[in-house]
Amino acid sequence: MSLAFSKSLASHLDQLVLGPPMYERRGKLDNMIVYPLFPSSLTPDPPDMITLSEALNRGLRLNDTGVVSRIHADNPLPTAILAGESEILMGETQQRSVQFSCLIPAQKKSSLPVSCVEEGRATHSQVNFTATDACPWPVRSFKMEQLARSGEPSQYWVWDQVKTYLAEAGTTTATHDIHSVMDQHSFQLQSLNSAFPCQVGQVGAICAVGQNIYMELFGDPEIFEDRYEQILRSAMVEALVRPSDQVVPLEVVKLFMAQLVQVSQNSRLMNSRSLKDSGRSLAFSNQGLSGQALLADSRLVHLAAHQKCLGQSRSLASLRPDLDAAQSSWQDRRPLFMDDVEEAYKRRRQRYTTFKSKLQPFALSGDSRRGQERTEAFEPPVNPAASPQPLNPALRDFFLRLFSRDRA
Amino acid sequence: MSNFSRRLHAARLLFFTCFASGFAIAVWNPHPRYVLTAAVAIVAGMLLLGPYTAATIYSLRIQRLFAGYLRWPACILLALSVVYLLNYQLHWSRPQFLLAALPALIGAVMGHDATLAVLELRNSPRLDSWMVLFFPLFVGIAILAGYSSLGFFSGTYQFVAAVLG
Repeated sequence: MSLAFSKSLASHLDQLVLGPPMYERRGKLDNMIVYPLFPSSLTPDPPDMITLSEALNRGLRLNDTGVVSRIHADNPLPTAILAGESEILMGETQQRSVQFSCLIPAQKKSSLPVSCVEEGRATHSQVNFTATDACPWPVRSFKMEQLARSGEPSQYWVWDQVKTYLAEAGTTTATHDIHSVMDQHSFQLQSLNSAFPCQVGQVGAICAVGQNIYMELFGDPEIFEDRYEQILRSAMVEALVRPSDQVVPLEVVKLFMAQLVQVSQNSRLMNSRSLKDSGRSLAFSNQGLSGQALLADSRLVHLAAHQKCLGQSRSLASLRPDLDAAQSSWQDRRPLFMDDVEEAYKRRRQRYTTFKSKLQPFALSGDSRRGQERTEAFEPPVNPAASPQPLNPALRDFFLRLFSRDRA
Repeated sequence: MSNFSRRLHAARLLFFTCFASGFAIAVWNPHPRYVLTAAVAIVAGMLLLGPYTAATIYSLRIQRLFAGYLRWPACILLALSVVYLLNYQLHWSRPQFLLAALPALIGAVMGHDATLAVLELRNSPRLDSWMVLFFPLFVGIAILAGYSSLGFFSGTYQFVAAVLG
């Protein structure tokens, strides 16, 4: 399985193109560069799955079981749902982080493996999780390493890792919840994400943050786009927690891609009885590089990886000429297939939006036998026009600054 | 507290504009009903009309109408209709109507965006509820302060002129 996965990953990575680097030009984030990843071709069909956060708006029920390492997922939708390992689940109970990326099968109940990321709060059985957000990378990397080594991260060590990270971030929280780091930097996370816009047809991103390389890759650009904000938040919060002017240069990023394939040759298959039919999750860790992947029908659905590149970073100021040259070179000599990718993506996106707008929750088990089709009200799909928009973004930002206390 | 003052300081331009508006109203017509109308209208716009518009649009899920731009006509319609109703009941003069309509509209726009900011911060321990409450009041007070300062300067001038001879 490992070698087959490694070969499949190698051929998938071979078909990707590293796009023009993006960095924050006003000097507010000198330790982060984002490299977009583009496919060399796209199939005409969009994916038949949606992300966890979208599914929560459409009827997915995630209940706390009272057991720290498991939550109950009840998917009434006629489509699979991608639960990414980068997601924190939040509600009126203990915060959890999804252990590894998996697909929640359509119209089924399943058990989702999670880790607790809020030690100081009790679990409340049957309480729903209502929202998701991104998990900071240090905790994700730790989970990946543990998964690759032992198949399941030890809860005690996850709590320890969360506490260490909160201390390093200077975040004070009564319940040791990892999400408070996001809250602490919420304004900067929001104001800086415009420096790294999602591009048409993009399927992945490599974020060079300080001495780290973080990679997220999806099989479909639609899923990537829907997850992009969280992908950025996960990496950007690390850049804000450990400010510096050092960042990993492009040549190291290129080496990372090759090492990724090599390390993935020794990967461990994740076990989850209720999720095994919908996809296979693998984790790998070696040579300071750790990652995890989700495959469905031998096709890559999601890949996340991290490498610590100690002593290989340089100051952003010294890299700027190269970055600017790479950007202008991309604009002048963009690969010809990018036009086809963009065209294909626009058609796919349209179909995918229609697909999502038609998704309605179906009743499960007993209800379906009685012929009742709907279990609860259908919520319309989320799109930019549907989400609350300010009358004036500058005014909204002004009030965000005015109403948020600086941390002590 | 210094944090609170520092954030208020960031709004100095707005406060100065309000102060200058109050002063201008006092110069134009010193009758207190005009300045009170303007001050109450902007505070009510920020505390009531703006949040009410946001709550209506987003709880009824009608924000996608007008290609997602419903918030603009909704703010304008709500502010003007409320002022029009009050005018119908209270028989305001035309200048007083305008002095109610414009600040109410500005207040509603600010209140709408302030509501979105509060919603964004609602789960965060960093949300400063006191600032949310006091900021609109400070805006109203800045208008009244501008109005009062004309009387103060005028009185001071009279006093100094009398003392000097």
